[in-house]
Amino acid sequence: MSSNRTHEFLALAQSLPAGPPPPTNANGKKGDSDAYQELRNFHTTAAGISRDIAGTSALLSELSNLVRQGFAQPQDQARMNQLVMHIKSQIEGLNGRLDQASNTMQKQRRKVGQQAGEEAANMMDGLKSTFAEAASDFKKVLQERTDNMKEETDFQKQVYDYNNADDDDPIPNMSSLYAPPVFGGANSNGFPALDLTSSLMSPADNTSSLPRPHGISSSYSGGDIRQRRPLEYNNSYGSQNSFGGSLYSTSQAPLTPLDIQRMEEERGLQQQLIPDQDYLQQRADAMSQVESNIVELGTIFNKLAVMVQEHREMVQRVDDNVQDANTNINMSMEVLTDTLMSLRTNRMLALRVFSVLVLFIIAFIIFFA
Amino acid sequence: MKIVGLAIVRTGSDLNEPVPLTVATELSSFGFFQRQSVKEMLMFLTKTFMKRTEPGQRQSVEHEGYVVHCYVRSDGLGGTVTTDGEYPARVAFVMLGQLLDEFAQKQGDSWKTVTTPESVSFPPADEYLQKYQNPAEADKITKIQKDLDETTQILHKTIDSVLERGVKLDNLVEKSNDLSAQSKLFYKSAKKTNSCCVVS
Repeated sequence: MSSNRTHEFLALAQSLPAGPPPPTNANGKKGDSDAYQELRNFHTTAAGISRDIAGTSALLSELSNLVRQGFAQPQDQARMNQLVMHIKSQIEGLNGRLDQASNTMQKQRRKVGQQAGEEAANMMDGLKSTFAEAASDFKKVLQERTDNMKEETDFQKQVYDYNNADDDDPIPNMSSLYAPPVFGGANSNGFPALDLTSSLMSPADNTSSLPRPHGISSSYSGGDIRQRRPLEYNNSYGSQNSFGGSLYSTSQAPLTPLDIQRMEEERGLQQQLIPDQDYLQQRADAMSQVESNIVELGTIFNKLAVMVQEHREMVQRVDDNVQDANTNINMSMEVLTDTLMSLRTNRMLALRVFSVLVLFIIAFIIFFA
Repeated sequence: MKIVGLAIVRTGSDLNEPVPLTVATELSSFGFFQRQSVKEMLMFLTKTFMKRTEPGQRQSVEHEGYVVHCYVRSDGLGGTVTTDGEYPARVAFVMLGQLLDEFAQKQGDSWKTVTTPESVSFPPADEYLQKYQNPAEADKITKIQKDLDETTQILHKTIDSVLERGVKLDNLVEKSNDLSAQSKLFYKSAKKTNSCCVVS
């Protein structure tokens, strides 16, 4: 009976309406079809985002290959810088879109059925985790790169005279890097490193919005890469600075003698503008010291509270143990008193039994005697 | 750390020398015969530094182991505080600010026309001098700092004792554990040894 009914199937498929059939929902609310439309849009945007993440990862792999080569040629350097900027802009864009998408997903979740909502949430989480991976890989690559460049400059410092290093400009295309704000922050070498994942690991934020990647930086102590402008800003989880905006906000830490001179001029100017600089500075220092003391006090109190909390557990254990000991001793006392009682009463019985025995023995003796 | 002298001075471009309006000194650390010369030197230093200080500017100048903190307000009323090297400059300026404010409040505008030195009598100047001999008492920031240091120390001691408490609690736990184990054994052996005689 089985015949080739392919042509029937094809005819049927063509006869069906072009788009998906309108959903039949148990609620039957009027806005359902809109909700499903939005869900479809959400899915398409999510697909777009994942495609872009894949593209970014590809660029990232290219960049990491270049970095791993070690001492790089100038054209590789240019390519690396280009890649870095590209990746950074893509990450920014992706971050914004992911945020948007998760917001819309949250809104729609209530309208759409439970399963679709869960599926959307899972997809969001998946996207977010891949995005976080990509960002952390990016950060690692950047760190590797800064390490390489440090080695390079150390090596070249040994080779060239230090005074001439200013003219020789060991890293020619770093000057073009004032724009890329990726180099914001210092790691232990005293070189900038971008900490993209600092907030991505934040435990507080998981459903509401994607934690923004942003960098930590601390003060930069003298360096010989003068073209780098490490950017400094406060790393506050609450403020959630966007990637691009905050990194352009402030700049600090001059590096060349020229910059130091300029800064001293500025300072002289400041002295003319604010003649009380020392006094005000002293006041500011005093206040900041007071503030740090108070903060320290706060942490000490917290530690104290934690310690006492631990002790609570121990005290409970002691209480339990002593309680058990008490119970045991009570029970054993009961046993002993029972024994005593029975001993007291039994003595009479034993006495009688014994007397009966004695009588028997006497009877035996008399019998046999 | 101590304050040696305090002076409220009127400056102005119309005067060739600043005019001290009120002076208070605390010269008990010097020998009796030195006091007059020390006071004259104080006045001389005051006038010299006041002349060099712009309105709205604060300065601290060191001279022979003593530091003269000068402050001239924007309306020409100024003051100097001569202290030893240890006295914090910030407290001296706070004191000067307060003193000058009070002076201006009390005297109104009358000080602007005075030309004879040391003619204005202002008893709070002496009070301020005495009060600020101990900067920890008078300056709030210093007081807060001192309190904070004390509190931190006390807290460190507290944490130490809490740690000790933890150790002792640990001991207690162990001992109570042993006690309960022993009592259990006692119960069992009591039951065992006495069970044979109960029946009979």
